[in-house]
Amino acid sequence: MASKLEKGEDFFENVVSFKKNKDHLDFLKPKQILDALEEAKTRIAPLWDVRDYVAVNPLFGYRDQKVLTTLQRVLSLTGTLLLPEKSFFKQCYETHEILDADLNTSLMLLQKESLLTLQSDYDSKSLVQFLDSKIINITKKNLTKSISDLCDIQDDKKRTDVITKEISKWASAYFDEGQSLWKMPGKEKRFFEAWKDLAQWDATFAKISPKFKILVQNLPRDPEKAVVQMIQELETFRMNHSLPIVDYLARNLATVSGWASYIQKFEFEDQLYERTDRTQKVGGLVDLIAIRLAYDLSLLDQVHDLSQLGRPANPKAEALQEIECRYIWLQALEIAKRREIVKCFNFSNPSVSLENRPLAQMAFCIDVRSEVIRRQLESQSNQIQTIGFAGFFGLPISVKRFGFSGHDSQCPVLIKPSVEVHESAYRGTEKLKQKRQGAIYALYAMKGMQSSMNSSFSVAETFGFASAIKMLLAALFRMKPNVSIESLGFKNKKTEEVFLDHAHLDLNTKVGLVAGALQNMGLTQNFAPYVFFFGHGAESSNNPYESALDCGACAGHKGLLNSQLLAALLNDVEVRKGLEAKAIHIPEETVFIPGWHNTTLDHLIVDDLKSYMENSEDYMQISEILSSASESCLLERANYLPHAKKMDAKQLQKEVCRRANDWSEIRPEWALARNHSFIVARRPLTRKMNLEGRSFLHDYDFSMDTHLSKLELIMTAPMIVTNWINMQYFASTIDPNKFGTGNKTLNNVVGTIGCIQGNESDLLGGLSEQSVRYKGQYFHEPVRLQVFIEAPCQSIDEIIKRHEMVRELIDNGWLHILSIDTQNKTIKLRHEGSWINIKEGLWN
Amino acid sequence: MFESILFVLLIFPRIINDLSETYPLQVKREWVYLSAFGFAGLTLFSFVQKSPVQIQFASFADILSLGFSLDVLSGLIATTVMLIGASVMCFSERYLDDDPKRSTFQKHLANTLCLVLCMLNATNLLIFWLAWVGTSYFLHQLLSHFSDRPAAQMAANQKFWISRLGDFFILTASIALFYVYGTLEFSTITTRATQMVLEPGHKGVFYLGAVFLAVGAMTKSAQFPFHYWLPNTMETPTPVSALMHAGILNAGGYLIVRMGALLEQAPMALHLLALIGGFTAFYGSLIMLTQTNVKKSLAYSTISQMGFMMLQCGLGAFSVAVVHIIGHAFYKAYAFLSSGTATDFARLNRYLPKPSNNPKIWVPFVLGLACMSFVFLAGILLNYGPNKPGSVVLLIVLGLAISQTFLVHESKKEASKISFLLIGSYFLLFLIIDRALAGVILTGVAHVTAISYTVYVVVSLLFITLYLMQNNLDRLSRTEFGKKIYVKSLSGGFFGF
Repeated sequence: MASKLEKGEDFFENVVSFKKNKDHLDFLKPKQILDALEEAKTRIAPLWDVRDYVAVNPLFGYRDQKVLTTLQRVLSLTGTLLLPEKSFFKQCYETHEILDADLNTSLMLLQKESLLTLQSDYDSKSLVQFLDSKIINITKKNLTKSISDLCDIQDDKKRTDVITKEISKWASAYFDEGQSLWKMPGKEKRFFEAWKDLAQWDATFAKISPKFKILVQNLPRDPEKAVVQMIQELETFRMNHSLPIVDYLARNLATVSGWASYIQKFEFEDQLYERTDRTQKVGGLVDLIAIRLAYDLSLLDQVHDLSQLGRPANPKAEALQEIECRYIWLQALEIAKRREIVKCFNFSNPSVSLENRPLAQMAFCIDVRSEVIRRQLESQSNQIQTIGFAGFFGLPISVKRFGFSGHDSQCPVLIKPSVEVHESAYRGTEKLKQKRQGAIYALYAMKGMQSSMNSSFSVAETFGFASAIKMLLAALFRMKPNVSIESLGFKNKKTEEVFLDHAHLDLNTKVGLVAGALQNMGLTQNFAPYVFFFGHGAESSNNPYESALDCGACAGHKGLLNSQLLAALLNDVEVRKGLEAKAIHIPEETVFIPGWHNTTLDHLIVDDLKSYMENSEDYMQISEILSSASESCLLERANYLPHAKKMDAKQLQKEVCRRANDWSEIRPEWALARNHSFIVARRPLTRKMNLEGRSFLHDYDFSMDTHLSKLELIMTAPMIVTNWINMQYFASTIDPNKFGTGNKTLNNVVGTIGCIQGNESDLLGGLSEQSVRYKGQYFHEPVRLQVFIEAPCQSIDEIIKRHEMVRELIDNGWLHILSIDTQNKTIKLRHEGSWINIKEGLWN
Repeated sequence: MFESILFVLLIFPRIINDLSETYPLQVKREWVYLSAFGFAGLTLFSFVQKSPVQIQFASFADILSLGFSLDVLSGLIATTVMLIGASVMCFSERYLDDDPKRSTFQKHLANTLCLVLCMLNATNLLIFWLAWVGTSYFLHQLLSHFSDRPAAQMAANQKFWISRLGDFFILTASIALFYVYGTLEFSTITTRATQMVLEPGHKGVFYLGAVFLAVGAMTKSAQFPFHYWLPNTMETPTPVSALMHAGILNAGGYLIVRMGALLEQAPMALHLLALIGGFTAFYGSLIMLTQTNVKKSLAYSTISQMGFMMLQCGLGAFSVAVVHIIGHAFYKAYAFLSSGTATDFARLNRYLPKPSNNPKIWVPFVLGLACMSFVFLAGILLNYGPNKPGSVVLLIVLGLAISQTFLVHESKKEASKISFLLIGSYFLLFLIIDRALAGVILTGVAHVTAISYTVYVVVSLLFITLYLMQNNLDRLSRTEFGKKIYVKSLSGGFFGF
């Protein structure tokens, strides 16, 4: 075989003749190969670009498998053991956060599930000893191998890394949205075709693999056919070994997982929108696989032994034990957390009588950051009632900014926006539009001149001096270097120039929209005189991942637009009349007020609050409540902000303002770090609880939900979103370099749509090290989400039965689900399809 | 008194750094900006006095003196470097908040700055050379900050060897010039170069010295083929890139300007600078067009801009080169520090896609060149500024920039406004710097020969080719030739590295 390979030039002709001789062996049929391709594709989670950077569970594709199984597979594909470090557990144990009892419970639950493969007799003592065992060494030999990996094991030329960089080079050229002036030739074709046209002239990889050029030239233009052809060719070399094709393809994809996820987004959105245009235009994951296989196969003649292709060397017993033990510890930590949460539930006054009408109701996003501000607001006055609901307030809208042509989706990425609204000018529409567009075109022109080959020299010489001023303003006076798109071309404040226009919607649509929103929010009666809707958004400077700090329920954008639209609709007399027909009676004096929660500054911002309130006493009282609540909220947050512990309120204000505007700030805020639970219940149950900004809170009243429709909605939308957020933080905390965007000081914006690390790397996804760790230590506690629902077990089971995805997430351990029974004051955990009472028996 | 101020200013970054590390509450790092004002003040003082501010520790006749001196040239550039350096030092404080090696990093940063200042204010080639080597030592420490990243190590090593090559060239050139002129002092060398007639036996050594000086400067300023390490240095925190691209790479240009009078006596060194500079400008900007990440785009942009700076030097337009050094330094430092905003364009693109460019390329072309012919004639009539033959090349480049302005702008009105601003500020800056440097840069009579004219024509044609290429990219992309060029550029080079 080897001698055949050394002949070189007519390598693939040899392959063909060789295949003919071996026809009696049964090769994989094209159908089998394509099925394997589909299987490998489903494991990739989508990744959104930085414009709407929403959190995604990076292991979402594995939801149909047990977490423990998945972790083994992830280890074998990427070399990452995606569980917290032993030292972290040790710290938890030594500080008595995890007790021996928790370990025993965890062990018992897992044994019950018969998940532990090793079946060795673990007990709490041996588990504690395990924490001192030395770190196991996982080498490339123990991982699933592509051909390039096999080459790498033979010598130290690091071909796998080179391939990743090469593919990243091509993918960033193809998906670039504005960095390069010279667009990739053939960009109008699908990715694989465009790549094939150019890669044949690429000398970079040909240096490592002389066969590369011929191989690329001989590939068919269709990526599926190319994959089939390449796999069949590969099979002619398999001799007596069968090729574990799914594993082989999965390993290939794992080496370019960032771009794979980015491409998966197109497939995800096409499926959601029931269309095929994006994937037809740019191609799909099959294009990427075909490209990766081409690089891989070109190295075929450099491998001595193909028998290990696509399979890990015997999975080490130590590695398995390591995973299991750490998994037991993880679950013990989660049990300990649960113990603390459960202890605090406020069963004693389940129905704090809200018969006396509150002065104001304030609705917030379920985001963990809202928990703090809601608690602070309520502690200011008994007359304030707060509500938790997904931050898009149930409005599946997309918004067109004034003067622009594109849309922003303002609802969760799992939902297709069905209503389109746009901003309109109060006056002088045409002129304002021209001004705004002119401002953008001027920016494009300036960028064009800076990056053009001729004008760049003169521009640097002359306009360079303007940069000096901008630099000093940014460094000394914290002026943001960003383009402020919101107010581009406006002379006055944005709110004075434009408003969110809903005049084009017909009354039925409007009434349908708001009725749905109010019902799902549980706000259909007992309206306070003032009802606030607070969306949320963050503020940062020079930060490519700014949208990761914004509202995930608004597709990674600021939530103000949704609250503005909802309030405007509800203040409309016609709409209110329409609502009467749906048995929602809104008192005439009730006004709906839009606002937003600036999470970086912890400000509650309401434009022109006074204009909504005739009664000046109310105005005084409410604005006092808003400002003192934000102040205490900020003081509470200061406990976690670095350098802010000993500051007084005034210094703190200054400090957070600096964080929001400083161009050198790598941590504007902690965002959703430390999240650990999602509580779906009536507010009185949690009203006096200090959840430290670690819980997503969703209002839900089972007695009002006769058809379980609200519960169904919660468990299929917000619960999935919170699981995505939680798992993103989990994975990024444990391995920020492979499952996050790594060290922020090395981030390098690529194609204006994402970042790479340093000179060249795969596209990054997840969160940066600075968002989840502080000085190398975990700031986010990596635990899985605990979902508490105040509803009977049977009802929860009912929903689980209806939705396969929900069932998979719960039964495979991607989140823990618990049912709260307020009457009997019990809490039950769903485990292996049955419910265990956790107040009695298991731990107490 | 001014002497002691100068001395304090030279080590000021390190002083403030150490004080603010020890007394973080009392001493703010922002105080480093004071040194920029200090340098600005001294520059003004030296301009008014028409003599440099000098400190001398020891002196050996006119052969060598140990000390520093600040004249308008070094003062202007030192002010620039300190404005940038101070911004970079302040930027790093928060940027590296999490980094366990932050204080070491800051110390290296301050040391690098001090040495750059010493290099700028050196009175002779020896001190210049020592500071030059020292700068590259601390830069090396900064580049290998993430010592666990193999790519960072690789880039730092590439840079290390290029720097040693540069050290060798400058050292050899210094020895050769000492042999010819019997001194290492900058001022004495340049005076003697313009006045003294060379002994016949010294001619060869003199040319060797001049050419080696030019080549040494090229290694520092990342000229082709010494450029390839630069795009690989993104494995280090962003502020290092800002400082390196804005404050260290242009040291090569500074050296050439400082020795301008000498190089004018060696036309072949100037021709070499013009040709290599012009080619580097072409090469760097071609590759920049295809780069997809912001930092590499900026790196190739720096390469081409440094090429342009060398071209200006090669044309004998030293005061224009100084304008370029300062302007580009600010431009590039800001671009690096604010590189996180590159995603803004993706947002803009979604809201309002970029319009396709105006395809009529000849009208703006003629317009731009006509503009510049007018300026040229005006120069001849007034007998000031752009009337040397070499300046035609620069006027063509400026003219092409005007053409490009009309191509990228939607409205003619906007384009005219920008063009006017461009030409206006260009000549204003040129006049200011030229006047300020009048007594500092000695210029003798430039030898313009037939070879010079050939060089000017070749370089001008390079720039016109750039204009035509850039505005025909779509057409180019459809040809096999164009695709091959694209692939090579995307991969970062044509010559195997």
